[in-house]
Amino acid sequence: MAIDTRPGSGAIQRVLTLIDRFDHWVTTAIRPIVVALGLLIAFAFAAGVFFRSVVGSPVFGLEELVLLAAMWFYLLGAGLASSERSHLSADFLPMLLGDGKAAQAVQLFATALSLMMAVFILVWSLDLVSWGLDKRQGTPVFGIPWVVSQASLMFGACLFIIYLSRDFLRDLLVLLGAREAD
Amino acid sequence: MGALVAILVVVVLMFLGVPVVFSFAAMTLALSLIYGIEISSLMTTGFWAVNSVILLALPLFIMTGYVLQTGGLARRLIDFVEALVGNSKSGMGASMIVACAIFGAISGTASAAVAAIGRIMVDPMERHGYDRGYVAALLGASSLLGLLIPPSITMILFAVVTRQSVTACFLATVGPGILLMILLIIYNAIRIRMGGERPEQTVPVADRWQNVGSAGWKALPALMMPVIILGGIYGGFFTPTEAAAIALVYAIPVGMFIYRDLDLKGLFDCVVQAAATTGVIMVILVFSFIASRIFTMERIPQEMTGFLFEIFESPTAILVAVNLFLIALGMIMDDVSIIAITGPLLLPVMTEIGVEPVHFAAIIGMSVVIGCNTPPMAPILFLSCRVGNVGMSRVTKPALQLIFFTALPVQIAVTFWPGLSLFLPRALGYL
Amino acid sequence: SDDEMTFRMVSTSGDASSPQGMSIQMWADRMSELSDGRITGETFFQGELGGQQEVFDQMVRGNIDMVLELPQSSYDERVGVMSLPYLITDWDEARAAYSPDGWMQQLVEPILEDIGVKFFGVYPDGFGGIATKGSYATNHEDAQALNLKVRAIPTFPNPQTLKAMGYQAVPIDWNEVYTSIQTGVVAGDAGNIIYWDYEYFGDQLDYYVHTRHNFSYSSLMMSLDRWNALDAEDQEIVATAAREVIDQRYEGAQEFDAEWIQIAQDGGMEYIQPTDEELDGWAAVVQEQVWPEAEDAFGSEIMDVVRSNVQVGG
Ligand code: NA
Ligand code: NA
Repeated sequence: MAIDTRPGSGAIQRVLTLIDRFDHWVTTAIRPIVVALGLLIAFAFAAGVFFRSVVGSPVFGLEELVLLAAMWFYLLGAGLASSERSHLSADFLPMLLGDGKAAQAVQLFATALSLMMAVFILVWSLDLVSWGLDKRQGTPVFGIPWVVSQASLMFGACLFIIYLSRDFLRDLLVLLGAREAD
Repeated sequence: MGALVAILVVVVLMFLGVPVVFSFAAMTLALSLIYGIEISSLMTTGFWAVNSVILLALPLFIMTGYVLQTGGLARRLIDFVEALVGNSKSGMGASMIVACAIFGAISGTASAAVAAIGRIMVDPMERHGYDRGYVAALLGASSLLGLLIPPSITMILFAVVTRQSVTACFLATVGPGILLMILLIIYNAIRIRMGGERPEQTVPVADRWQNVGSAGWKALPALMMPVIILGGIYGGFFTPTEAAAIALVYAIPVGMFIYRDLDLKGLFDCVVQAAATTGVIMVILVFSFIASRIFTMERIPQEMTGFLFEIFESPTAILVAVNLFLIALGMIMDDVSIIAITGPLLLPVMTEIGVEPVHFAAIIGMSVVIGCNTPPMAPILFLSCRVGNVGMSRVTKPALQLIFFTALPVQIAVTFWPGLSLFLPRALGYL
Repeated sequence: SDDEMTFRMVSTSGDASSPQGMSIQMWADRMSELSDGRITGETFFQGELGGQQEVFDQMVRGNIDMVLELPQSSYDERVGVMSLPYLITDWDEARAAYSPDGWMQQLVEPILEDIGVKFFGVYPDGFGGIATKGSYATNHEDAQALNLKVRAIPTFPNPQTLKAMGYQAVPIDWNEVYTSIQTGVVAGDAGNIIYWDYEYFGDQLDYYVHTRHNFSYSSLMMSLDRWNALDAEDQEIVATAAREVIDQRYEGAQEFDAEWIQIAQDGGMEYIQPTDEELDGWAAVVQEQVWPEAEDAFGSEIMDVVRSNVQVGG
């Protein structure tokens, strides 16, 4: 992740630089975690088959560990996709409109809507987490609090908000003509 | 009403370029406002739905797809298929189609085949006189065999959102997949023949068999994968999800120590890319499950069934209407969204008119195949263009021709000939 | 009150025609009759609104009003005390423990109330057994020698009990059980009355051994917030209707089980009644191994109540 040094209007540019630094730091930290989680899911699951079919004694509780890893794998992965701005989306309107001001305005509007929804997602997942903390539900075998897993949604939503704020500011600068389109 | 609003919100937002996940979040918000359901507490639903053992097949198959590509398994498979099908001009097209089909029996997604096979085959085919636009279109169409030939994350998604058996849904699309493969090969041969091409046999028969032998030997570790995956599932050794884990755990050492194309850095990148791809789908699913819960709570599918029966008199008319609706939706929506929204919404309608859920799995699977390649929202075709390094304008016409002459006939066959999709699940005792 | 109200009611086990499905419908219908149509229920069955854990959560959160299903022990492990193996041996003891005035009800009601659940009472299924494909066991040694893998609910004390009995307990989602038996991932299902195993997996399973190791049940429950929001008159209507459902089930459950044992046998499933010695053997090893673990899991306060109400090792 190269630090973006293109010129923009002062304050916004400072925020963008800050977010880019954050992005650099966070993605560097997240990637190895995601790799560890991904391989854990695969090998633990395969080991489960081995113990059941070959050794003949199923391992209890393996599934809940794998699922815990999986939730974090999903949400950290979704965060990485936000960082790369590669969330699944359709781009036919921009294709129709070309790359004029109209297209840039639509893009800004779409990003603003996304940002708004990301805030909603954070609020909803905060509610889930606070409920989880309140009720202290645990997994069947090890009694690991489900909130450990549910917190991944909250963390993911935070990443969405940070990266969408960046995208919003960038789109704004593009519309204002202070920045070239990505 | 609710269904209409839901689909409208998603379509309009996606049209504006809002990512699918946020369009879906907005849809659930709209639904919760209409029906006065407190959405924050429904996050529980989204969480439990995604926190599912069956769905673990998604990240596992997606990781496997990347490993096949990076680890050289795809390369060996293609060499083998090329040796097998021959190197005449139409033979190359057939190679691509058959390679995609074999790849389909290992990988759970269509995009893995596009990336792996496209990178290897597009340039040589152009050198042999193929039009690049047509090659990219053919790649897009053939790669979707991967979605029809099990394992298939599309069918896993359908099975999970509609609570059907994954193993049975896997079998439902095999017949349509084989039919599509045959039609693609025939279409390709006719097209090449009409272009004035005379098939030339450059390699003597004896040498050719030797080539097949040596390429087959090199491809053997890769060719073992469908045997392990499908044999394991239908032989009772493991569930489809466990098969996905076994596939990955098998592919990594093959790529690292047998083919030596996969190093630690490569593996690292595979898993990171897979995490991003899976994460995007999973967050979409959180909201699609919440929406689907609201649909059920408010009895929207029943409402819709009644509505459809009011407009159309006969079950056949409803079946045709549903097909048209699915294909139209396929133009503007991606595969995940279509399955996630229409699966739970339309399955009750289908059951009402006497269509088996597993038969509907095949119908919706085929419509996704078509949808993935019809612009404006054509994720697989876009990927094909990117991998084949060719513009959309050159690909659109051959892509639409391919759909019209191959995929569409299969869609019609699947819809009105239930035996095509139900034969295999029935024969193996899954119905 | 004069308020019109509609409750969202769910039974996660079985479709509309299963006993559970018909009972939740009866609960709704009786409330409507008792209130002259003022109180109605909208019923959902099987997985329509999600799995057991999710539906239970949604009830605690108030999105679902009433359920007929197993109380989940994810909030408080002590709820699992109702599933203690070889706790009771016949229907008289079952009635004494699980009926709305029974000691088990008194024990569990406050625990569930803390979670946010109004507990109307246990809806009895009967004594559970183990249904398998290919081969079966009637004692610890045979089960172990045959390496029989059976599906079990993963929460304490279910897998521990099966392990003590000589089986391999495999945790599998209820929706995946059929395919898992079909493909041989497990040999069968454990802990249910024959109805479920015959009606849902009958074409796969060959044997039903009536191990009677657990008392199989569901429960009638309601969101506590929703309950507290009702006035006395409406509470009375809801509770009376619930009580009628439970009473009717107690009257019919034993006969229902006997009926389905016959239907399953007529349908080609072999029903095996282990001898008293075999049952005693299983009970002894289970009480020896699982009950001490229960002491840790549920606390001695709970276990003291249990012990004061049953004869252990008799
Ligand atoms: Na496939
Ligand atoms: Na499309």
